[in-house]
Amino acid sequence: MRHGRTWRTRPPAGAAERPPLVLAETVAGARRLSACCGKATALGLVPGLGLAAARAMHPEIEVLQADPAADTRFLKHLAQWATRYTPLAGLDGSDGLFLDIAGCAHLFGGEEALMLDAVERARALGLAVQAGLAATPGCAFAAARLRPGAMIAPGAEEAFLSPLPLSALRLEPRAETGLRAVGLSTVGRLAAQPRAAIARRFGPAVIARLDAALGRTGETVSPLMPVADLSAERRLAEPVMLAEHVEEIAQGLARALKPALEERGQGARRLELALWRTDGAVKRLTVGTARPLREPRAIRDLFRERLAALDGTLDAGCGFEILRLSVLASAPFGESQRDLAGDPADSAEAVAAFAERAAARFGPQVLMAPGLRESHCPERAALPTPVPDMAGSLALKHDIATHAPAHVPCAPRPVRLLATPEPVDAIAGIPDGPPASFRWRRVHYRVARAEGPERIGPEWWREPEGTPVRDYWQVEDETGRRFWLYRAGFYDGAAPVRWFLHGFFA
Amino acid sequence: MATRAVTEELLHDLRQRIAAIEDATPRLQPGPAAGESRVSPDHGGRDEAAGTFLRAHGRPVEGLRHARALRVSTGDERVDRLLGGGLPLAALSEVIAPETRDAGAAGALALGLALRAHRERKAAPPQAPLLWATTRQAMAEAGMPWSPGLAGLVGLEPHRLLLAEVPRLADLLWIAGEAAPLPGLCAVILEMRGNPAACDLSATRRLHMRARHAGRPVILLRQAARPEAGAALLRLLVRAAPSAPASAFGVTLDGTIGNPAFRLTVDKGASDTPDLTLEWNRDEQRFVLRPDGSAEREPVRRTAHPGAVVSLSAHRPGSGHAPRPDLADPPARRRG
Repeated sequence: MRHGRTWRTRPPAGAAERPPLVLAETVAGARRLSACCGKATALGLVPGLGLAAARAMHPEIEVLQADPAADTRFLKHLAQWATRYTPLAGLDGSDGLFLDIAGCAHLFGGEEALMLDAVERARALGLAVQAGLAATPGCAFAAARLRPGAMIAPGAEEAFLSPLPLSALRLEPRAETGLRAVGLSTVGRLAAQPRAAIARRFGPAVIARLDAALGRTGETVSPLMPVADLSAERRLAEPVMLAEHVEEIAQGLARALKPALEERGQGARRLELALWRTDGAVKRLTVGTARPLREPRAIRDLFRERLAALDGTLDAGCGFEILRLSVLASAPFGESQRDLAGDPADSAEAVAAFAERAAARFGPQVLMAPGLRESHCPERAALPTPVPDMAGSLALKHDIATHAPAHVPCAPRPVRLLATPEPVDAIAGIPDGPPASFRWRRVHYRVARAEGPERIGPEWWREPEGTPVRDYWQVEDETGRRFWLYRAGFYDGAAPVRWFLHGFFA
Repeated sequence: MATRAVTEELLHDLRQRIAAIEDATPRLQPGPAAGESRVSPDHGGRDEAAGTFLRAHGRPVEGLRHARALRVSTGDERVDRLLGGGLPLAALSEVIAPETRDAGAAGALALGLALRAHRERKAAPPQAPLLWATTRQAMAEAGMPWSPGLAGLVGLEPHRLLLAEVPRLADLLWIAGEAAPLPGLCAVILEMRGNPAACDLSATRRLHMRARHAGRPVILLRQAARPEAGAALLRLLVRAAPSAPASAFGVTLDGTIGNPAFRLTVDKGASDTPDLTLEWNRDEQRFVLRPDGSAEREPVRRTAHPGAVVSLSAHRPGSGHAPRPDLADPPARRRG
């Protein structure tokens, strides 16, 4: 793909036209051209030429620094754009895209129409593109680069490739030079040689590339994006810009997906709405659901929250022309029958729907449940953990309630726990008396009653060696506030003893 | 008493206007001179108390047929009477901890009320989760609701606690607004710090209306806040009170920490309620009124200290405390 900068950008005021543009990069300590625009190519400049030589030949050229990372980024964006034709769009080196259009061509009126459409649209975006179409990626590579616009029928690969130079085969530069040096300049000649000898001398990759191009071995395109199980899309005659319209179309797409999900007995767990902007940019919005979901209205509500959370940062530009709703993950849909009393299942459903909307708006971490662990360490025993599956956990809860062993600690536990224990200055009797008074957040508390100690040892398999043992006390100050304090370590003179406040009782 | 009559007249007029705004005509018209007491003398008057509630607010709650369901008992008839019939069931209530360090007491009181309300709701699924929505700041200041403690105190099973933590107050109000109308939740507790302007009269009114539709309580829990006007039917200021000593086999164990106690100031609700001290009976899961006078417990003085008594503090000399004869002074601050 050649960057068409010279004709896309306007010449600066006063100048008749822009000078020829080349990109330069540093290769092995030397500045060399990496790409040339059309005019520069016409002047006889080619990539690989030294920059000093090029400047000497044509002092008027404009030189810019090559940025391969930006090129790759751009190519990835373009691959996203190209998923409008097929979900299987992958990168081809640093300057091409592979599109696997098997099964997609009929949607665009045939293979040729698809290819023409893609070339046309890419040109409209200001890109100089070449395309080729063949039954194998290797052959399509050769067609796009050496015979732009060619369509190779299945079975005709050998006849097409034979007269082409070796550059049609995507070989390593070293292998290609070596093959040329021994007089093998076309694909046909290479194919006529004994395979074992070629593999021995130039490496097995040469034979593998040849076989792949000729269709003797299979080669697949590795797609850039994960391929969805199901998707539905809508191409609009007029681009839409308003969030309300996007929501409405998303609901329509969800309605289109519903029969397919019903047929599979599944519901969506993760959905993606891809929006193609008229200028080629692609936006993707992903929402997770709390339970397998099919209901178009509920899906629309999720995307409404998602769009609201973007808070106007979804840049519609000149509008979106294609919207595609994909089911990225699905799960078996539990067919539910309303019981005669009606409500309970219904209200649990509403709670799950609320959890979904909250997750769509604030991210999946917003709703948490105590993650119970078999641990005596208070920080680990019931750490809030995100609820991944609201419906699952709601259903599971009955089992937990009836079967799980009750999590009843022996000593009273505080109702609120500080995530990080806060150090206090305490005065206590030695060796292991309760605190008599302590200072927390600059306020002095005088202890009226204390119960304890409850000794909780560190988890040696988790904590570093030398972590002090904690002695927990429940204390009540003179006004009746109840705190959970602990002493880390012993008054044995070995290490300073520190007191911490860890929680609050009712 | 002319002033009083004028006030009553004004109040009646305002109620009519509010009812007109809400597009509902009050069913039971309180005459300006009706003058009945809000607190019914006998307990058979829970209906009576609820009737007062009805008159005060114009129309009955949707979805609830019986007026007696409007208030739930706290577990002690005397407390119910003092609170004007009990905890409002389908309404917004406000529990305020004037200082952050009372947040433990306030949180437990809110949960106790919410779970009692849940038990009284016959139609509710018994395993309905309770949503506790809080801001990140509130959680960092006063700690997170910790389910081992909640399970032991108010019997909230860990799997029924649903925590929502959001960074901003606007997000918190969104969460509360979305969750408030869900009857599938056993209660919604909304926790924030202070008196932010965003949680104003209209925001609380919105929450109140949604709680009414859902038929179960929404409790606004404020830390380090002062009481201010809002739509909540009941507003309580909570401070911790000295606990009752624990008892075993009928013997009171001196010096122990037993059931938690709360000192309540009814800021809004029944009029002329004196401050009351409640005790949470964790075995029977109900609140019990502690008779006044016994509220103060004598601080226990430990008499015997085995072994040497030396006070130590890690890094600072714990200055500011009165010296105790049985404890030595803390060591002087080390230089360096």
